Amino acid sequence: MRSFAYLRAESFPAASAALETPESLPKAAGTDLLDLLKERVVEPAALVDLSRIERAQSDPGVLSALATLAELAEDEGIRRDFPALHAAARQAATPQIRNRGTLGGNLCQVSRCPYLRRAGASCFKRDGSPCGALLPGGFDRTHAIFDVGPCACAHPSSLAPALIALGARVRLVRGEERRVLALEELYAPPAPGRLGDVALRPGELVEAVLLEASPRSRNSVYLEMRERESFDFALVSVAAAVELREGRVRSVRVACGAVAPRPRRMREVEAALRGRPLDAESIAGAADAARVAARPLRSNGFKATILHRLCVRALEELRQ
Amino acid sequence: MRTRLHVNGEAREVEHEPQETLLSLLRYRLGLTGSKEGCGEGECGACTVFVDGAPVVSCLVLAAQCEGAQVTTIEGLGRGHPDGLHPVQRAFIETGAVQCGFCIPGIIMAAADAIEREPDADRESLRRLVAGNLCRCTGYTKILDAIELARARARSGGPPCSTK
Ligand SMILES: Cc1cc2nc3c(=O)[nH]c(=O)nc-3n(C[C@H](O)[C@H](O)[C@H](O)COP(=O)(O)OP(=O)(O)OC[C@H]3O[C@@H](n4cnc5c(N)ncnc54)[C@H](O)[C@@H]3O)c2cc1C
Ligand code: SF4
Ligand code: FES
Ligand code: FES
Repeated sequence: MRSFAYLRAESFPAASAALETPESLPKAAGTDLLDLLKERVVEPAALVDLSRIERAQSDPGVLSALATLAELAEDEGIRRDFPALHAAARQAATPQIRNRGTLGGNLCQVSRCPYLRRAGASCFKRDGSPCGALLPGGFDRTHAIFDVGPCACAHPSSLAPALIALGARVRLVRGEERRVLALEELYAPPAPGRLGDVALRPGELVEAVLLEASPRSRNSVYLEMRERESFDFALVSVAAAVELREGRVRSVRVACGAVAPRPRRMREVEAALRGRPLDAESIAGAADAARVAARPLRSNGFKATILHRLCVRALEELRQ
Repeated sequence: MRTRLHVNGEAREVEHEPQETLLSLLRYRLGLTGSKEGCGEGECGACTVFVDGAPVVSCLVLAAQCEGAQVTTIEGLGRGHPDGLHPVQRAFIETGAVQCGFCIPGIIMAAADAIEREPDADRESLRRLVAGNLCRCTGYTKILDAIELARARARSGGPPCSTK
């Protein structure tokens, strides 16, 4: 690891100001960043530590970016009002990582693509060179099946699809300025140097995630499939939230993780369900719709099948 | 730079580089070599210690983040227990749950926390609670036997597990 200046921030605006220093990076718990520093994938001159920022009084609809995954998984209110988030946080990573890793860091984490994480390998997202996964013979098994362009990586966050299905918004802070975005708008297409795939302005930080409890959020689910049972990043994850009225789908949001370079809102699935009864027939149609736009790479066609099955299972769970 | 922290109950003030991890500070600055570096990437759990009472992977924690923290390592886990052995350590010895031993300090830390936080966990839940620890030797059967033994004793009013 290259040495860096270590700056401990007291508040989000102060952290944001400190990030004006050229070549500086924010660090929350560091469970993702330290790995990238060790591999010299990033070599910042300064690290701005957010982890000691005093958290504002907690409000049920406002989750601090510094909340740990373990805190989210253990929160009774989240379990009741946002079961998809509860399930995603509970299954993410390992107990030790959940005890430290934060919500903000989880949303801004960097792809697990092995080329990106190995200094010296060819990677569009790191420096504009050709994507290693798309080169002849490249490893693409865990990569994207949707929206593949110059980068084929699969977005790693399990919380992001759950939160997108729940209609979450993010509050961003830059100096004293704040703005609020729908979570799906936080993500930007792959671009060289933008390792975390987030459309943050220089010095801008995620301060909080905003959620509203509703009949739809309470009827939500998150499912993932992974290669190992103990812990692993998901091969595919599906989150769905459905509000039923008189047996019909009044409103619905569906999102998937690990299938595209960004967490993917599944509008085609939503359209196949809206206004219809949630029954075996509509669920089968929605799951078929989920894979229509899929364009698997050489060795990850199985992901489209898993996506289909997970959509069926997730929607079955929401039939009530 | 300089960081002040408590390690196994003792106040320490340590000079270190900003890029040093907590694991490296413990092993190379303080000579506490019980915590091991298996992967350095958060995947194996061999470096597990408690920071402010919760198990974390010390290979992914910067020493600088630990200003003012209470750190407990495997060397300090048994503090206050008879013979200086935590009930989980004793159960591992009695069960013969150790082969090469490399993963064991981390597993014992994770297990001590699991038993304290979920004293009623069944074997399946215990597996989930120590899912962040890999062992390349044992196949986990005796490790889980040992954890179950310690948990059963803790539940039947044995010595308290907490040393945090
Ligand atoms: C073994 C292992 C298994 C894992 N499994 C899973 C899994 O199954 N599912 C899953 O979702 N994740 C998984 N993860 C990832 C883990 O959840 C993240 O590492 C963690 O949540 C990141 O939080 P952090 O606070 O440590 O972030 P850091 O490492 O501190 O930061 C991560 C990135 O986000 C940026 N950042 C951090 N906070 C902010 C902020 N507030 N605003 C703007 N940018 C910010 C940093 O600059 C950095 O680039 C796993 C990680 C490991 C090591
Ligand atoms: S998939 Fe994306 S992150 Fe991986 S090598 Fe290609 S460009 Fe880089
Ligand atoms: S060395 Fe820390 S988890 Fe493997
Ligand atoms: S006993 Fe050898 S790694 Fe577990």
